[in-house]
Amino acid sequence: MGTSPFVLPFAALEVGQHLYWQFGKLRIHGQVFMTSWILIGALLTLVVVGTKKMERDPKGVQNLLEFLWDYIRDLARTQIGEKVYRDWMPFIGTLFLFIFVSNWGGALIPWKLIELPSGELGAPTADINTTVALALLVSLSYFYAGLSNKGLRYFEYYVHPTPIMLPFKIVEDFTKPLSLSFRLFGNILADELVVAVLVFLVPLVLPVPVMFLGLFTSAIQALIFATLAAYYIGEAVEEHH
Amino acid sequence: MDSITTAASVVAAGLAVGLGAIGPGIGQGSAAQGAVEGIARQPEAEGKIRGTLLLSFAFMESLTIYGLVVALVLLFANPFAG
Amino acid sequence: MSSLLLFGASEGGLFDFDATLPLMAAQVVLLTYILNVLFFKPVGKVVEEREDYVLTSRTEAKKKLAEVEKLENDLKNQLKGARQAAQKVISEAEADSEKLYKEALALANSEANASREKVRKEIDSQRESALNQLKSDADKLGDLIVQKLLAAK
Repeated sequence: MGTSPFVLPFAALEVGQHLYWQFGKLRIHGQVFMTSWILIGALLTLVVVGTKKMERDPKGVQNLLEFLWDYIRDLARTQIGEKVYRDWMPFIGTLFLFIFVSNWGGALIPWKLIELPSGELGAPTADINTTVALALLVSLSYFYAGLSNKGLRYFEYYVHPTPIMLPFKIVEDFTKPLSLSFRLFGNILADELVVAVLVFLVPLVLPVPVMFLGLFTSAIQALIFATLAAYYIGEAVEEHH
Repeated sequence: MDSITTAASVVAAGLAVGLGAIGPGIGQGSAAQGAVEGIARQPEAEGKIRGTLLLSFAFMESLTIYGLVVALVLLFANPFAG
Repeated sequence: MSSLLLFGASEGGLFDFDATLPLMAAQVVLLTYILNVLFFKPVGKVVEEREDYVLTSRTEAKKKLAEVEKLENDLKNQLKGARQAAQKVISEAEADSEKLYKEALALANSEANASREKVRKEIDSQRESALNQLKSDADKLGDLIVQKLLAAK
């Protein structure tokens, strides 16, 4: 591999390096779990603090939580429909909150200060394993939603307007998780890379607006992931006539 | 990894991002045009239009991101590196 | 030549799938359950209770508003009746006073007429007596003149 001509001490790019933890024959990416536990811990702390003393006149953290709840409910209701959105709201909301917290946590917390023997800490969603896991969960859940709501009639969806649609709909089942996972992964990784490259070239001031842009796209990506997951579930439970 | 593969990978990575940016660029342009016209016609609907515009921007953006992912594969996880 | 690949580790790399994937999926499912218990259920309960409360309060307020409007109408009707009664009293009083005024005026007129008549009669009689006096004086004066003239002749 040789040494790179442009490695600076404060801004080294590390792509595709992981901190491996070995459990028997299983290997996992330690840095992903470390950051995700910290962020999930923060999220749960916020939730526990906000719901500790619930009142009819909300104040403080309860306001924020109620705003989030309302936001997620609107999202789920518009995409899934009035009938079953209740069952799927926690799932959609968890996807949204987890991805949002991961993206922002990865961008806002100065992880680089913590030295790891290999790899570096960052947004959990910048690891392909995380995004594929989320996307596969979405696939499973829309299959489950369709089958549990309509039984075997769910498969009418595949031949719905005409049987010619069958191959396309089957291909769609594969492209949905693929595009979901790659969209999220690519966006978050691209944000991190762009910031890293800019810091690498001009370490001062210039990366700041790009960081803000990154925060913005991170939030939008969380919203898009949740919206699309809800849309797929809504598509699966929708009744055709 | 021989130098031909490296050169081809680097060129292909550049092309993947560059060509992949053309289509979404045009698409975002026309979407923004439509949004601006909509706001000019109905200034009170600005919030709703902005939300929809941002969402569709993100969808178009992800097409470029797919190109970027391919470029990243070629640069950092090249299947032909041997 | 391979400096570009410096950042890609020799093992692993960007697209390195391993046990992270199922574990992360399990973690997210677990998180869904935890958040459902800790966040979605309690917050949903509070929000919906408030929505119910607001809804019932609104219907109650609407009911109260209707009652208030009814009361207002009643009061308005009462006020209208009172106003009419007052108007009637006022007009009656006005008519009475008009009548009294007219009577008093007529009385005063007749009194004035009577006293004027009396005065005129007095004046007439006085004038008559004065005339008579004058006449007698004139006669006397005439007699005197005649006597003086006769005496002078």
